[in-house]
Formats: sequence, structure tokens, C-alpha cells
Amino acid sequence: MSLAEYGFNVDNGYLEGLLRGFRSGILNKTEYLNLVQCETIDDLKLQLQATDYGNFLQNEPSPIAVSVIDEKLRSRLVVEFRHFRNHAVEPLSTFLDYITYSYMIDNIILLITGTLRQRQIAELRNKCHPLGSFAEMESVNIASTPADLYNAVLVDTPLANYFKSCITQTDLDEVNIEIIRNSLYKAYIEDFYQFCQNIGGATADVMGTILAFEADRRAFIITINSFGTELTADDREKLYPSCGKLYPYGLHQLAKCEDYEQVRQVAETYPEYASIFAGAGNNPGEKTLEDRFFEREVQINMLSFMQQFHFGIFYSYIRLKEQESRNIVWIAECIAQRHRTKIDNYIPIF
Amino acid sequence: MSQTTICVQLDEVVVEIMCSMKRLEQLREKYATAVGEGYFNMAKARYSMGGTSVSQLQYDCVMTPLVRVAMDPNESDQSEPSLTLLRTPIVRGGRKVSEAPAKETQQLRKRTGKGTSTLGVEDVPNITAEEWEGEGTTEDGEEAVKDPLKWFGVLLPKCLPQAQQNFMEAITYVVDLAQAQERLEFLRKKYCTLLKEKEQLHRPEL
Repeated sequence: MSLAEYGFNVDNGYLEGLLRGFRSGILNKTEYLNLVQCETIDDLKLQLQATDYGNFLQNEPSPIAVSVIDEKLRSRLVVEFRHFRNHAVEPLSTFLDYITYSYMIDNIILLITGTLRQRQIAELRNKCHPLGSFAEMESVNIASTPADLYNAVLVDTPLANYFKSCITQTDLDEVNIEIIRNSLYKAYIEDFYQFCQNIGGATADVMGTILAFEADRRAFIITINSFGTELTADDREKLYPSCGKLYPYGLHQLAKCEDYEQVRQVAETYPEYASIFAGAGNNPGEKTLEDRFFEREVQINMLSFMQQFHFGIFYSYIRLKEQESRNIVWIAECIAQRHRTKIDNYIPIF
Repeated sequence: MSQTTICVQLDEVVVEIMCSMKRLEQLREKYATAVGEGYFNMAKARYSMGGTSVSQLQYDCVMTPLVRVAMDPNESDQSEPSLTLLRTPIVRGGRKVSEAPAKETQQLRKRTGKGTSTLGVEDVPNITAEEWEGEGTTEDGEEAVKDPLKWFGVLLPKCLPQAQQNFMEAITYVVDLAQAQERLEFLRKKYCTLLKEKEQLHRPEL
């Protein structure tokens, strides 16, 4: 055992213990079975009261909209995360800041697209993810080109370094915004990966696996969703993060793919992805490829709790809670729309 | 008109009413299914992309309808008005998808009121997204509009275009529903008229 484990609990023991306590409150299969049997959203609210969520919907008037449930679930997670962040010291504090950068990217893109649609900034501000808030957010609407966006808004934010590759875009149309979004994310995930490797130890090991999977998943999904769009193969290849197992040969093969079958053939050369593609389909009873990727993500994040004295559990907890939110919102949508045939398509965590 | 003739006509109208009601119910069921599938696919898209990525925030500030309904102003009581769907060309890939240099005539998708006594739901064709793209520019030189799917981004999961297709299908059913309801109303008035004539024939006998 290296010296890092001896000193870990001095700075981070309280937060790791707290987080493992929160983890035990994640919904299990029995609780999900109770949720899917609900006939109405009010029933769902009653069942959620019996879980760790408690009375978080108590003050919401009936009928409760699914979007309200989503917001309240997010608020719970934000409160927990902020507690972790407020009590964290280096290097955990920087690690937790890295987690927020992905939400910052989403917020920037939301604000840019909302501004192009001439939405009020206050309306957009309310819909931004709280974990991705930063002081210069509300100035995004003054930018008309990526260069303006960088110079006026992002240069003093943590995302400034990630934006350098995006300034070549001349204007903000749908394709360029998509390129900016994915370029920012590529730069972010590669930087996060490098930061974790620099920390070393179990954190590098656990986060390396998680971020490599995330990078490869993004490469597959970008490729498949780009078929039939204006995104060229060259543009697509520039969006693939390079910290995954597919780098470099798999990414190069993916860039040349022109249909789903070719992507599947590339995946088959990697055993971990061959099994994901093997069980995926759009027929009734089959899970979609995205669901299969979500399932694998849950498995990988659950494994990070098998080790102690590392920061990966913080990232994994956030991802597992997000999956739980997606599950609850999915069940709520099926109940609200009275479309119960696919209500069991959530991904259980325990 | 003799009583026998009126009775025969009444019977025929009743049969037509029953057939129209059956068609109406079948169309309502198909419309509800199409709209339900559309909203469900949008829920799937929110599951993949996130709730804020598929929401009202992405709607364009100025929306141009892709489909308009034109009504032929037929004021005659002898037949119901006909409804016509007018498509607006969609721009995809930086070009008007609907441009076809050899054709300059307007192509319309018609739903006329000329129903038969037995209208099957097979009369309503399956509209694919490719068919919907149009095959000609409009006569008044109307500008093509951007595909509304672009509001939500470029790299979209398959369920979002599927939702668009479901809603497009629902629009055709809406027009047919309106047509079927007009037909039913027309038949109801015709039945009432024939019934009054029959009652007037009865009164001299009383």
C-alpha cells in the first residue's frame, strides 16, 4: 500500500464516508418495482416519499409536471454536490470542479442556441444546470461569433483553454454550434483524463477506465448520429476524444464509416464494445444502443465503489444519480402519457 | 316522391352514416396513436439528450408552418367542402430539398370530400419523411424553411426524426378527420331533411 492511502482520510475521509452513505440511498429494484406500478404521478410522489428522496415534492401543487420532478431531482443532487465541494480541499476540490465543467459546456450551448432563438436571458438562465453556473454566463448573448464569445465571455473561465480549437468557426449556425459543443467536450474530457493520470494511484486507474469508456461512447454516438447530416467525415473525426481505447486505429476506422453496419464491424474488433452492439436493436423487446451504453456506464461506475481512497467514487456517484433521475423521469413520462408498454426500460442500478 | 322512395333513401343514408361513423372512429384511433407515439418518441429523446435539450427553449422565435390546410369554399348544401394540404418545402443540407428543375407545377396533396359508401382506412396512405419533402416550389415563390429538427441540434438520436414523422402522419389524419366529420354532418342534415319529407307525406293520411 502506498503512502497516499495512509493520508487520504485526513483530508477526504469525511467526504468519502458521507458519499458512501448517500450511495446506499440509491433506489433498488424493489423501489423501482413500486414506482412502475403507480397509476398516476401522485402515486409516484407517494412512493418516492418512502425512499431517500422523502418529501422533496411536498410543496408542489397537483398535477405535478414531469419537468418539475426532473428539476427537483436535479436540485437534490446539486445540494449534495455543493456540500462535497464546500468541504473539499486540493486535489479533490479541483477534481470536483472538473466534474462541473461538463455542465458549463451544456449551459453555454443552451445559452447560445436560446439567444439565436431570441429567448430572454432570464428564461434561459432558469433552465441552466446549477452545477455549471459561472459568473460570465449571462453575457453570452452579446456574442455573435465564436471569437466574440471567447474574447468577451469565456477567456476568464475554466473553459478558455478548451475553446481555442473552436475559434476557427466563422459564425454560430446549427452545424457550427454542434461542432463547438463536441469540440469543447473533447478538450474537456482529454484534460480531465490527464488530470486524473497526474493524480495517480487508484484515482488514475478508476477514472481512466470511466473516461476512456466515455470517450469511446461519444465517438460511437457521434458517428451514428452524423449519418445523413451535414457533418462531414473529416469534421466528425476532429470531434472524437483521444483518451479512449479506440484511439488511434478505431477512431480512424470510425471516421471512414458510412452506415451503422460498418460501425458495428469496427466495434466487433473490441470485445467490450462488441457485446454492447450485439444486444442492441430497435425491435420490440430489444434495447437501443444508447440504453446498452447507459447500462455499461452504470456497471463501470458501480465498480469504482469496490476500491477505497480515491476520487473516482465522487464522479461515479454523480453519474449514478443522474441515471437514477433519468429512470424516475422515464417512469413518470410513461405514467403521464399512459404508455406503459416500455415503462420497464429503465436501467436498475442495484 | 313516394313514401317507398323516401324510405329507401333514408335507409341508404343510415347505412352511410354508420359507415362514416366507423371511419371516423378508426381515424380517431389512428390519430391518437400517431400523436401518442410522437410524444413518446420525444420523451425518449429527452431521456438520451437531457430534458433541457428537447424543450420549448429550442423552438424558433418565428415559426413557419410546414403544412397549411386550404378549404375549397363550397357553400352548396349538396356536398361538403373539400380540404387540401399545402406543403412548404424544407431546406436540408443547405439546399431546398423540394427543388426539381423539370417540374414547375404545384403539387398538392388532396383530401377531397368524395367519399364512397364504404371508406376503408387504407385510403389514408403512410407518409414517409422523404415523401413529405415535396416535389416542387410553390406558385407564389415561397421560401423554403429550415427543417424544424435543426432546432434541437445536428447530431440527433433516431427517435426525434421518428417523432417528427409521427406528427406528420397525425396531420394527414387531422384533415381526414375534419373531412369525415363534415361528411357525417352532411349526412345528418340529409337524414333530417328526408325524415321531414316523410312526415309531410304521412300527414295527409292522418
